[in-house]
Amino acid sequence: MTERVLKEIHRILLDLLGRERCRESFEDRFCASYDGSRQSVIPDLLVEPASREEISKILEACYARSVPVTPRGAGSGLTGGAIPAHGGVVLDLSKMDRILELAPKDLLVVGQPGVILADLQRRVEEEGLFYPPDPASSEFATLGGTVAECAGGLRGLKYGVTRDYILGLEVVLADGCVLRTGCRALKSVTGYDLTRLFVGSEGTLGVFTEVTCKLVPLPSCILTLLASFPTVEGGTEAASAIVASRVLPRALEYMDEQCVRCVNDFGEASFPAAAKSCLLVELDGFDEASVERDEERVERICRQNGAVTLETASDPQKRDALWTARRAISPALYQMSPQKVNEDICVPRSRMSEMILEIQRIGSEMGLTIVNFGHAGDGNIHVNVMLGDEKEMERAKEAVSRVFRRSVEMGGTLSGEHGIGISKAPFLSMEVGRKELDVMKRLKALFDDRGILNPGKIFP
Amino acid sequence: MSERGPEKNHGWIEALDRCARCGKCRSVCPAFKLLQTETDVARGRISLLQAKAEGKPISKERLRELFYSCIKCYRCEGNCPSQVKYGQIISRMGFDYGMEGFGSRMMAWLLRFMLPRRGIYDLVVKMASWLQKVFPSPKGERIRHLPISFFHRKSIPSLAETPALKLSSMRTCEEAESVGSVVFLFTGCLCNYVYPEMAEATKTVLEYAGFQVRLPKEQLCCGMPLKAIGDREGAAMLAERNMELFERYCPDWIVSPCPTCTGHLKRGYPELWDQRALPWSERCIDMSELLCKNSEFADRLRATRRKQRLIRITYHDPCHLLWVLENQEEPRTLLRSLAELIEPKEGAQCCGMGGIFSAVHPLLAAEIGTRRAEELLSVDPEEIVTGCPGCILQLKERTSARGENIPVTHTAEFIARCLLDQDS
Repeated sequence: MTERVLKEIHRILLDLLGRERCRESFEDRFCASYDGSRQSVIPDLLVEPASREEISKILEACYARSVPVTPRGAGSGLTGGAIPAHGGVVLDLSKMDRILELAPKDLLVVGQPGVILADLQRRVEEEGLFYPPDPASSEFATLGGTVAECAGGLRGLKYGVTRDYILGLEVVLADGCVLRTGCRALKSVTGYDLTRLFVGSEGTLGVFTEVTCKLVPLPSCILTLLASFPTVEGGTEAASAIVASRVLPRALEYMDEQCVRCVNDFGEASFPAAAKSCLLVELDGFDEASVERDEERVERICRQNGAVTLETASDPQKRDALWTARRAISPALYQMSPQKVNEDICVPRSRMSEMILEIQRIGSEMGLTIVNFGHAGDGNIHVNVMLGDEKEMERAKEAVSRVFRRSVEMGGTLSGEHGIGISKAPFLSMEVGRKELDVMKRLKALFDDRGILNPGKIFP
Repeated sequence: MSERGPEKNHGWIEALDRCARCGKCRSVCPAFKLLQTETDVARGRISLLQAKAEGKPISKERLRELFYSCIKCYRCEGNCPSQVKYGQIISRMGFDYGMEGFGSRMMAWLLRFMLPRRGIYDLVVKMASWLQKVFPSPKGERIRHLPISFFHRKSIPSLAETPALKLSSMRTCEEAESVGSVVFLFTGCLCNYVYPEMAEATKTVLEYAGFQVRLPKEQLCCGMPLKAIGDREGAAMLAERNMELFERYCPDWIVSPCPTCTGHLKRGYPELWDQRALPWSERCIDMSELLCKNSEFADRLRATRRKQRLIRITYHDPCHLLWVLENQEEPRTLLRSLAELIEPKEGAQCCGMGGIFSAVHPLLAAEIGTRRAEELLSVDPEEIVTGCPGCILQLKERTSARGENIPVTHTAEFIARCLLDQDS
């Protein structure tokens, strides 16, 4: 991209959007350079389109001149998905934040990409409906961002992830033409499923301008249970046993020994003192009797696996109290050491216990503190390698690489819900074979032959 | 203000580096909710300050602008998963860049001249109150517009006839008696000149609870307005003058009806004076927390409750009381023993007042305030109770702008009224 091309594109976008929405000051551009992965590449321009037509014109102009374009929501991703790795134009979509339609009879909601996920959830809950994908960032992440990264969250086990709730998309392709995928019906087998291809594509195939989401009825009874175990295996084995017993909790969170200790030492809340691992189980449903029946079953399984303490709550305040220690994990980890490497592998559920022990073995072999917690129900483990100082970084990278390899060997994956982005691109070929990678690259070229959309992501 | 060289930036870089760039502040910042630009939220400011410290080309003027677009409500600090000390960061941002430009320096110079001289301060306020009478508001309502252009469209309230510090009812005996702990009542400027009744009520309630209240006339502005425009020296000067008073009176507690003052005395003074401020910092406390330390007082309040019809109130959390002093339950405990307390479903939200913020960004402040007023009115209360004169100023203006004539009362006033009703 030459200076001349840049000047030209600046002039075109300035004419299109005006000074307020086409920003070139260093300060504005710098604030579009980073995300939750703490990497930073400064774009050449920051634009804030307000409509599909504007996005289409911006892409058309950029495509004609091969200027890179990176779509951006809240910039809360954890693998660099929103970072303009090759510079160029950043499309900040956070002001396209309207809910366009809520259709309770069709059980669907249509939103613009900049809607804050939690706002959408609160809005549909007013109608007694439920949009389950629930990443920890739901209060600030945008709908478009969660679709692009295929966000997961706590409720994956029972309700699935973002891809299970996207019925259709309106997408602007690299050359500016507009595509509509999917439909408003629940079932549809007309041709290839383009919608699924776009979900989780990390902004490399197109820019979403409208998202149609499926909804389900909002469960009325919720029950939370916190169990602590005197051994590390107690927690993971109870988790596997719960899944095997055909109970389907809406959340099944696991906390390992290091994690419990870290919260007790540094956090504002605490887990039961003798605990070496804990499980936080949340059950939901529409009638109390069945939820309580499930609860009894979960309780029995926890006791069989040696649970030493068990607490149950059903009213919102007490349930919230049981979640406080879980929520204290993140701040407590920062207290323990401000620098850490955070990965989100996911393994088949039956291998959960084995994987946790494996990670701890890798940690102790390499002299690193690794704290594990995560969504045990779906095998998604958040692996946090704590760094005492910068020198440990190299060893941490090595440890992560070993963890990835083991995860893939067990039939698992590099990333359950954060995406590949920049951070995990070097590891992609560990999981994706040569032929599969080739198909992916050809698909990318089909949608964006000049490679202007979010370049530098996913592919090594 | 002079910038610090890289050699002095050691702790500073670490403080900024604590930010994990997660973006959570975007979900709690009241100004960001309207502006929606990354530069105007804690994560953006922190990133820019870090880039500036690393020598990137970031303009001081822009940093100054971004310092003023922050309400300084501390919500982001209270909600930060990485426990970033945003309060300290924004103070330092002000000290480094707030005084860029002629306007702020003039303002600082005026304030530095007026605030330490009580006689001149009184006179200026007196003149302003005459002006208000010459230009009465058309509807003759409580809140009038002062015809001074730098306040833009911000209206300022009618000033009190007599400041709190000069009220005869506020006379206190100068010598400590042998019983009860001694409370230094720090009125703060807003309560002194606009709402002396709140200072009076605080005194009444504290005395009722058995404290000995002192009201030293020599007390000055806490210095927050100077800190809010980035004048470190001015703020430090006022802090020192007030600390000298604390050192002379040696109170057990320092209480102000204004949580912004209390917060600044408690957290801001140690930032300016380190060790010297610490003994007083520990003694700065909100009235609600002090009263809750005494279980007997709560019992007496409950006894009052039985004799009266319960009125339906809603409580608004002042940001500095909630996020700086961390008193969430205390005011509620007191109020619940006297009234039926109903909370809006949005929970604690900022009213948008923010001192200097509402003068620099009057339209934004009004929009945030209107939204908050609507949330509070949505539970259909007979009265709105809150613990801060700034919030009261804003909420009175915003509710009356919507044509609502609902009382907005300070927690101290509400409690004092209940206690007096019972006595009569």
